[in-house]
Amino acid sequence: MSNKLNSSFESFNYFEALFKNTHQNTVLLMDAEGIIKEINTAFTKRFGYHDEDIIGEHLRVLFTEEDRSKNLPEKEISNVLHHGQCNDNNYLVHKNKTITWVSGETILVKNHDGKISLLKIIQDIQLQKISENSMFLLNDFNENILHSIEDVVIVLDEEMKIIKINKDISELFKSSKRNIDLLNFVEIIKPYDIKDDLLNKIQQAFKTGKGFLSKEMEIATKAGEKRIFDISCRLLDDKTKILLVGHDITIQRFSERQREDIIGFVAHELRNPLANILLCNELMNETIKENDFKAVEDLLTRSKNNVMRLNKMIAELYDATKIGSGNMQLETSEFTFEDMVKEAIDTIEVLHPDYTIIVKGRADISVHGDRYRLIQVVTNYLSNGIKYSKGSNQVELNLNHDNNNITVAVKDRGLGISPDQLPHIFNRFFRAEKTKNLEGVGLGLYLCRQIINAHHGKVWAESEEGVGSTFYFSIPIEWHND
Amino acid sequence: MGKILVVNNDIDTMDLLKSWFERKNFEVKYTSDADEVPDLVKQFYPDVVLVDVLQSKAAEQLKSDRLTKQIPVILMTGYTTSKQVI
Repeated sequence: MSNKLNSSFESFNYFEALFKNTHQNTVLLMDAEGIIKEINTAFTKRFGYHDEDIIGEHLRVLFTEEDRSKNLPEKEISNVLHHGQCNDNNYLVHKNKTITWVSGETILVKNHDGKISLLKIIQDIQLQKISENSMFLLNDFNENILHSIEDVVIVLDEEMKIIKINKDISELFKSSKRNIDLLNFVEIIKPYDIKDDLLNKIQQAFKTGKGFLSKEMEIATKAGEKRIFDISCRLLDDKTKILLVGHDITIQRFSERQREDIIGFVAHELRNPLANILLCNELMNETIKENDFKAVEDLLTRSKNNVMRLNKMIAELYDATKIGSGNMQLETSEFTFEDMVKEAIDTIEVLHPDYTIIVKGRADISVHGDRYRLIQVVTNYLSNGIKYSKGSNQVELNLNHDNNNITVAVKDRGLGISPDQLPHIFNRFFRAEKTKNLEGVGLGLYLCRQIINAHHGKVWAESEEGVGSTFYFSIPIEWHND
Repeated sequence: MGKILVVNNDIDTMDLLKSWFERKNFEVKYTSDADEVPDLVKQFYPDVVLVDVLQSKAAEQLKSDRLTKQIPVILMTGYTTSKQVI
């Protein structure tokens, strides 16, 4: 009996020494209600509380507000009472209010007199938590990078299930399923993969273990438009997964095609007058043989007109490339707006003696601008009005101004422009369907827009098919070239 | 005397082609409006129709009409490659 007592006394001493002096483990002792009875030096060191701060307090004081509201301390205690032991990870609050992530083991201890104590051993796992957090942040970071990539990035497993994708799949393809996790790629891509190009390539890549680079493929989107992707494929994780990267090169290809079209179109337009000159030459050859000099004279005039046309087209093209690349240099001066308009009208009347230009309104105002370029705009508007008026030989020019702006309107009774084409008429190389039979390369109005823009003004048009069109431009009166 | 209908978008070209073919003793009519072509063909009964590629709609119309599809149509173009034409 005494032996037993002794040994238990000794073990208690041993236990107490361990409890008090361990530096590695912070330990605290509570009663069955969770009231703190004892703490060790390591606890004081770690959490700042001394005996007088915390003995007699409930375990709750060590928990965060949030955890307390969830009754975590109470749950922990009842867990130990029921199961004899429990493990928890949670924050503990330092005396100075900072919080530390800890792993705690709480054990139920029974004295020989049957009194229950709870022993809580706390391990500081803050570092672990921090590294976990940073891993999480790193993943988050990678995820963010993935989502900010313009290209489509997809990871597939061997069964062609989508493991990861950086774009909203419904944005790319029509898919009734919202959740893209583990969606089958074959199912999704099938209707859009023209000629099954992509699927075959991927299956081959899985078989051979070799990816591919820069395969150009046409993929239709849900809107029905074809898009051209430059697709690369790489095998990941011991060749059990595939990484697909698709770069949308539709716009690039489109502008390449457009450029080819434009060059072709310009070549065609330049060939017209050239062919005419050639025809003139051939005809002159014959008329000279016949001594028909009146005909020769006529052909020489025609030939000259075509040379002028070529010259005009080349000038337009040159201007357009210069202006298009942002090199629009205005040579500004002060002049009376009305006089400038009159000069433009004179030019047109010489070229088209059969047409009458009716001027309404006045603009006897001094403006600052590029006189030559503005004459170019007015003559362009007027010659358009003349070219496109069928049957009528009148074009109306209206001058209008308020305190700030001068507006010019040129009105014809011509073919008119359809509403779907109207928004595009000031674009480069645009020519309305019905008016393809007329000279120029489709740069006239584009140049006008650029010139007026450089004057801080604006251009616009109104039109009714079969009735006629009115082309407008307005420029500010007070304008300073900067 | 052979009859030729010219459909072109260039009035100068049409004028010159007319002069050229008239010298060769053909009778020539021309238009720049593709929509006028079917009616014009039915009045004029040309032996051949010269159509600029930009007005190829006229050629399609002639070929889809039972009355006019026998008339030979020659397409003209300033484009240099078939890719551009088609």
